[in-house]
This record gives sequence, C-alpha cells and structure tokens, in this order.
Amino acid sequence: MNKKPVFETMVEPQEETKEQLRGWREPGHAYILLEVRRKHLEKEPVLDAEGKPAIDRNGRPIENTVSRWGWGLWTLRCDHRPDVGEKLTAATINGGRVIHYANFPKVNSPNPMIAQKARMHTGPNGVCAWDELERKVRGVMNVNPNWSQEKSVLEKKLAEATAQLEAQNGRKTSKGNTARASTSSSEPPAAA
Amino acid sequence: MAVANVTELANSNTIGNLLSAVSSPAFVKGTVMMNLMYAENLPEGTNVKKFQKNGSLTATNPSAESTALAIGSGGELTDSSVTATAAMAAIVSGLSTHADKFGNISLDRLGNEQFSAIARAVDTDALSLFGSLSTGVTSTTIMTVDDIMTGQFNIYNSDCPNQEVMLACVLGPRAVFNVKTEIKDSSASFWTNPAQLDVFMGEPIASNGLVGAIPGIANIYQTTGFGTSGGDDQQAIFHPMWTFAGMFDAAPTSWLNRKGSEGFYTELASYYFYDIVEWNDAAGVLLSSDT
Repeated sequence: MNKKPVFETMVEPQEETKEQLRGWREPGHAYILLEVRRKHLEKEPVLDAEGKPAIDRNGRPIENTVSRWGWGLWTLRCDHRPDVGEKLTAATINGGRVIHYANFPKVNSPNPMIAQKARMHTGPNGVCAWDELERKVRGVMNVNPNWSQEKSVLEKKLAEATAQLEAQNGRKTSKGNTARASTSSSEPPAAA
Repeated sequence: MAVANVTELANSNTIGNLLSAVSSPAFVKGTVMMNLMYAENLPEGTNVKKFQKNGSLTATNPSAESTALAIGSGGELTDSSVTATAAMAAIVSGLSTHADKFGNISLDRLGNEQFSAIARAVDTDALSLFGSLSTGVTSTTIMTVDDIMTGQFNIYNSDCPNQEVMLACVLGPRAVFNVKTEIKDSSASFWTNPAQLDVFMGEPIASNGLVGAIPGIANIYQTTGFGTSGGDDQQAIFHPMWTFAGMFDAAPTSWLNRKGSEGFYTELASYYFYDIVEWNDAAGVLLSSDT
C-alpha cells in the first residue's frame, strides 16, 4: 500500500512528528505549525497468566490505559489576528518548537483581498503586523529548508561507509585471519 | 407549429426576474465555543489581563509533641497566571452607490454579515487552541465512546475541580456520526432505553451546536473548523469552566464612511477586540480521530 507523503517542513521534526505529518493537509489560512510536547494516552492489552491478551466474559480484550510522553502537532491560526506572539512564546517556553509557517498576508500580495487585509493590520509606522510576527517566528526557528536533502546525502555516505567496512571484514575472514576477525572470543587464538 | 398572429407572452412587457421571498442562509460553520469557556470583559486602561491560577499548600506529617516546625516549602503559597492580550479582528466592506440604490444588499445586511464573520473568527481561534493541550488521545481510526471516556478519566485524574459539572466534548460531524453509530450498534436494548437516547436528544442539533449527552460522560457539541494532525481532526473534551478563558469586548464596533473621490461607495469597517487563552491545561484532553 502506498504511504502518503510526509509534509516537508522548514525545520526537521522529530521522528514521531514525521508520522503525524504524513498526509497532513496544509491549511489555506495563515498559520504557524508547532511541534509540542504531548502526553499520549494509549491502550495496552492486559496479559493473562499464560502471556496472552486477556479477554473479559463478553469476549472483548481487556486493556489498560497508559501514558507516554512524546510529541504532537499544533497548528496555531494567525489569519484573523496576527497578534499571537504571546501564545507562541508560551508554547516555546513549554518545550515546543516552531517547525513551519506559511500564508502570512503581505501588502504586496497579488491577491488584492489578501493585500488589503495586510494593509488593514499595518500600523502608522508602516510595518505590517504579520511581518513582525514572521520576524519573531524566524527568531525562534532553526530554519534549514535543505534538511531532507542533507540528511539523504549523509545517509548515503553512511551506507557506503558501512558497506566498505563489511566488505573489509568479509575479506579478512576469508583469508583465515581469525585472530583479527574476532577479538571478543574467550578462547585463546589458534596456534599459527 | 405555432398558430400565426396569436398574441404571445413575448408581445407583452414583463419583469425579467423576480426574487423569492426567502433567501437560504450561507452554508458556514456555527459558533460553539463562546459558551464553553470562562469569559470576562476587556480591561480598562490596558489591553492585558492575567487570568489567575491559585496555588495550594501542603501539610506535613504530624510532628512530634512540643517540636517546633519551621516554615517549609509546603507552607509557601504561590499563585500563577496566564496572560491574555486583547487584539483586533477586523473586516472592511464597501457598498457602491449603484448597489445601494438599485440592488437588494443593504448596509444593514452587510453589517450583520460582518458581525457573523467576526463571531466565526472568534470561534475558530478558540478551536485552534485544542492543539495546545498537552494530553491527547488518538483514536485507532474513528472516534469511540471509549476514547471520550479515556479523556474524561485523565481530566478527573488530574483533580480538576467542579467534577459535578458535565464536561464538554466538541467533535466534528464525522466523530459524532461514529459515536452515534457505535451506540446504535451496541447490544443494549437501544431504542427502549431513554438514557441511551440522550445523545440523539429527540432533535438533530441545537443552535449552539449541542447534539446531546453521553450520560455521565460529557455533553457532545458538533462543529467544523478544527486543526489537523496527520489525517485526524484535533477535537477535545474539556471542563467548560476551567480549561479556556477569554476576554471580550461588549460588541463589535462599526464605522460608516462615505467615499467620493475614492470610488463613490460606502465603506463599512467593523472591528472587535478579544483574546482567548488556555487557562488550565490539565482540565482538557485533545481527542484526535479520522477526519
């Protein structure tokens, strides 16, 4: 079965968060995407004395609720009002990370309605409130839009180096050099 | 074949189009969250309000007779707070002189639609805070009563006060459908048990989004506009008194400006100051289920 693609964010998310980004639909409004600490409440089957999942008298499995700290997504809307800086600060203080943002209205947007919205929230100093928010957001992000390409290059190098090492170990074993092939053996090396 | 020289409809002067007496409303989301949070007015002289959170003290084990007990950390009372900063949601519309004179959209109608749009903006801002809840239940696929009960258990396990008040569970249409289906398909004598019928309530949905109740668990509300994670809607079960807090202006304010050199139209600008914050995280649980 084809898996849905993982939404590509500006900052590399945790592995657990990547699964939550699989098939994630980007909203059409202005938003900030955060990765937040979340306690997941999950069901775990209770095992009987034989180690098999326990069943109640109605034939249903008996499950226990357990909690596990992990990561989750939070889409912070900022299309109605750009003044969400305090919520952003509260989230980052509590261990959250900004991993993406998009669709902030700009005064030079080709869409006249979006441009008008941005002008409406532009103060007398001529600064659009969404531009200020973008500066704040980028200040707390470790933006690296090329993280996935860089990671795949590193993974490829690692795979090549691992293959080389395995080839070297294989060559030494085939020449009969058992002393070098195994250094953890508890037996003394064979006499030459 | 038409008979010649008959005076037909086209021979007379008629009105081209006539409008119906009733126009159907726009298919947009309703508002749910305003009644499910603690609300106060905007402060005077500042746009910042701190929603207070009481601390608590801890008693020590009984000390021995005639033994002095120094002030310990359990005797220090520390209150905390969450800060809300009022900001403006705004909308500007223009009605041309031609439309005003010859059309059927009036300034009153524009004003009402603007107020409705602001109400929806407030509601969706509140819904977007669900994702900030730090405890979550993710359904295996579709929402089940068990998932809702797990959320309730965690809220009570966190010693949320006022447990006599029914929790609010705000779900999307798909989740409500799945819960109703689960109850319908249960082996209990469903249609003869009045308690089971409560979630169906005898009518579809109230104007405030109330669907019904799962007895002893939560009042179920239905709306749209949730944040998403993977293929899931981010819904929530929460205590309506203590989870979210908001400060709101008394009503939206509208400005009417007649424009001449800028295009001969009437500009109607409305704005509304408010803020909504997560007040007590332990009083709510995120519920994620298939969209």
